[in-house]
Amino acid sequence: MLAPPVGIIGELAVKIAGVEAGEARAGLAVAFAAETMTGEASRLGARVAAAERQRFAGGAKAVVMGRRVASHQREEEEKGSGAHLAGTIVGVRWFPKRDARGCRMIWKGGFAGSMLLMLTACDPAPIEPPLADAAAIARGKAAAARLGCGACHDMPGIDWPKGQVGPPLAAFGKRGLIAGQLPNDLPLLAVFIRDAPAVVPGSAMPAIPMTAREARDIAAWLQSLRD
Amino acid sequence: MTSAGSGWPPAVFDPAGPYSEPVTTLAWALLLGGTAVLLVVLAALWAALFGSAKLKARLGGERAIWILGFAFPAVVLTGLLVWGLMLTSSLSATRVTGQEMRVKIIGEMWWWRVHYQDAEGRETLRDANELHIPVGTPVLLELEAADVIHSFWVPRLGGKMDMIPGRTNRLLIQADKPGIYKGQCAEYCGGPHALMGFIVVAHAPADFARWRASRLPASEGEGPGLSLFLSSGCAACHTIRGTPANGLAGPDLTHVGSRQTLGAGILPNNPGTMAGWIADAQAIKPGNRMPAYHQFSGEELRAVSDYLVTLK
Repeated sequence: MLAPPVGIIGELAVKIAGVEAGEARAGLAVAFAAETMTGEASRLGARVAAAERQRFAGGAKAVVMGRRVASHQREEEEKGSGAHLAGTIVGVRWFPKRDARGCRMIWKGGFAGSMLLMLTACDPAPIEPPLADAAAIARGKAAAARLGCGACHDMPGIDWPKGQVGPPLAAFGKRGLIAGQLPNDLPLLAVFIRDAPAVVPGSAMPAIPMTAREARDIAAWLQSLRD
Repeated sequence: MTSAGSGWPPAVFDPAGPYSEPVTTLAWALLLGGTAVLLVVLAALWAALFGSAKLKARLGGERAIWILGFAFPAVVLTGLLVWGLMLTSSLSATRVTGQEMRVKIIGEMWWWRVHYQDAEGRETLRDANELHIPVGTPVLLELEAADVIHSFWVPRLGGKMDMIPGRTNRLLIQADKPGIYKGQCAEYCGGPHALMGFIVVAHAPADFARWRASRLPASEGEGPGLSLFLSSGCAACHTIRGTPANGLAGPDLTHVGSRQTLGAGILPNNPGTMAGWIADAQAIKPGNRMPAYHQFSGEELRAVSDYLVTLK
């Protein structure tokens, strides 16, 4: 039993890949989305499939526009364009191999469509937790430099030293776990920075003498590193 | 006291004792005098290019050559030489009175041995990369080099003196106020030359006596850290008095936990930097002679670094 949206997606998929040889492919795409809708997929799979669906819908828009642009071109070529786009969206490996002539036509017809696809298929901005205040972040960076954290860690904005004993800390704000073990939230990160063995036994990172405020500032700085 | 790791570059124009003050005075005089001479030359150039015919004729005359080309430099340079020699005569270590504190410092690639001596020149205490002195007392340094030419320079306390293999050069320094004074090898000596730093810690006389007393007894620490230190080969290069560790190739670590810096004046000294230095000194100071110790587990590394930072 399929929920209504799946039917829409199925129609979309058929529209996108709308050549005779594309029937089976559309079926695959629907199956993928349907799996999500019926809740059979894993949480991760659902997320991936949802993202795919979004791009899928964007792709459909691109196809419509691409068709408008390419309306003066031959019908056959237009079909090739659609098939190519669907291939980009759903995954090239799902398509049977084409002959050289077909590929050339796909290239010509698909180029304009691909450009439009790039414009329409951008991911939405990720939702990020708010940053600590700028003064705390600046103090944290200064404290990290003063304490010599660079002896073990390669840290953005600190030119020397760039130690290789511990992990590099670029984009630490995007990291899921601290030391692969603890959720990366600010109070826990502050504790870890000040006394790592207390929360991650066996860590090579020793307890380092610093004030609780310094540890919080350093944590705020590390979490502000997003790229 | 300012943080040991900060203050780069060393404050060259901020003298803190009688042996660096004349150097700073001379440096400013040369800078200002040189600027004045440059302005005179530029004025003459302007006159030669854009001046009236009369001015040009005068500038090209024999009299101008005698005055500006001969008399002016002769007077200025002679005056500068006499004044400079008088000003810096007090820096000369030939004027030693015998009341100075004596320390031998040997430049190594890329760190410093520090041997404290008594009044007769007998060695009393060994340390590395850090010199402790009492304020208000001249300190006579005997500067040597073990391998290549280095240069000893603590800009706020004294002049700059080369350390040459096979020679002993002498330099006087003095601090008038307690504090930490940064030094730097000032003669290119190979790869990590720029990371060959030095620290002078000046204490009030009472504090200095206390520091000195704390340094004389041997180490009493023990535990898993020491066992690992001994079994991992550290002792082949490092001495810790009071333990079997008696290596001489690297710095004496008997009191390494109380040093302001690690790696010869370059890193602050805390358990974190100690662990980082032990595990991979090469990433911090590439080319230095301590290999990276990758074989320790996390707990072993912490045991060794925790042991070393307790060596106060």
